[in-house]
Amino acid sequence: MNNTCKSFVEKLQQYVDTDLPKEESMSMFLHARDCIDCSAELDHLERICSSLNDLAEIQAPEDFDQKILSSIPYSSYKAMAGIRQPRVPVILDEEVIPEIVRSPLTRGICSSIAVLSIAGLFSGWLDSSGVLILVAGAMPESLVRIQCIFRKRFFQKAERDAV
Amino acid sequence: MFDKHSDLKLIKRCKRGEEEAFAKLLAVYRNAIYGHCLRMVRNEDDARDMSQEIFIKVFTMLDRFDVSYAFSSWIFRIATNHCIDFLRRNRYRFMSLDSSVNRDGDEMKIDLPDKGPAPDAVLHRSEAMHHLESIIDELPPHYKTIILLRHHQDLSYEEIAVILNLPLGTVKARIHRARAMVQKIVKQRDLEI
Repeated sequence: MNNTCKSFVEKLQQYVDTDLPKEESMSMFLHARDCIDCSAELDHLERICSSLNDLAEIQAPEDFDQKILSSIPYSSYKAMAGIRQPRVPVILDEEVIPEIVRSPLTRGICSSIAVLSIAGLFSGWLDSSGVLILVAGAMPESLVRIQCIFRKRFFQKAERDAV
Repeated sequence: MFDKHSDLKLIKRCKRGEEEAFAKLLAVYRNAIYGHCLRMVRNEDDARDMSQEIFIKVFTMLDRFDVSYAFSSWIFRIATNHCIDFLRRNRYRFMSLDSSVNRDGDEMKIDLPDKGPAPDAVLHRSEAMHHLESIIDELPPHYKTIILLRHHQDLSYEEIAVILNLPLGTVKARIHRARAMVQKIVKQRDLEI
């Protein structure tokens, strides 16, 4: 067995699972085409996998369900259904906006700048560059508000799904 | 094989106490869980008791089920842990499907579905499958579990990783080793698979 054959056998399982990168898979394919022993090895493993997939399904006995279904506390479930709180996933930790942007201090300062820039624009103290200052100033508060709207919708959907 | 979304719909109905929903959910998984247990413990009575216990446990704990996971992963995790615990507790003597007596000495017969008429090719195939069943039987429990979950239950590597609480790489390595073991035994015994 040469080195190529050894390498082929080592990677055979991954090849059968199509878990190899494209180039390696192609070189395995080409080697199997040219090497009788490795081709037989591949064929053997594929037949075993195919047979394992074909194991017969075993049927549960006919009276199997009775004991199970008679043990379920249906009345508890029915009673709980009325008072059960919907399980809403907690996503508070999944912050998309960086903390420095959403901190109250940043938002407060930026909002003040935005208000001042509006005043500057109306009084003529600022030219068209005031619009950029306004947009930049309003950005942190706007982002936080938009995130709140999306969260609210997500929670409402989760509640509907949970009920 | 198992549909996550239709399972979730049934679970919602189960949580409202609808008896029909429990029966439907049981119908989806009864053969899979019973078959898994039987292949693991090789005794019909034990497999029946165990799979019934598993379903009762699952149905009484449905409130604890996390809907972000597949129900199939959850039930197979409970079933697998149950089987492994059972095998550890009983230090079970592995038996082949060909064996005609159980550990109490009683007659034992495992009915596999009849695939119709039996021409030579089918007989040959049936014999090969019996050999394969015996070989799977001889594998250590962890390898047997993983082979059954992958090939018999047709679960993905990712699902098996969730069920067994193992890293994906470990799952792949274990399946590769298990299949290599099967292949080695087949060769040693010069069996036609």
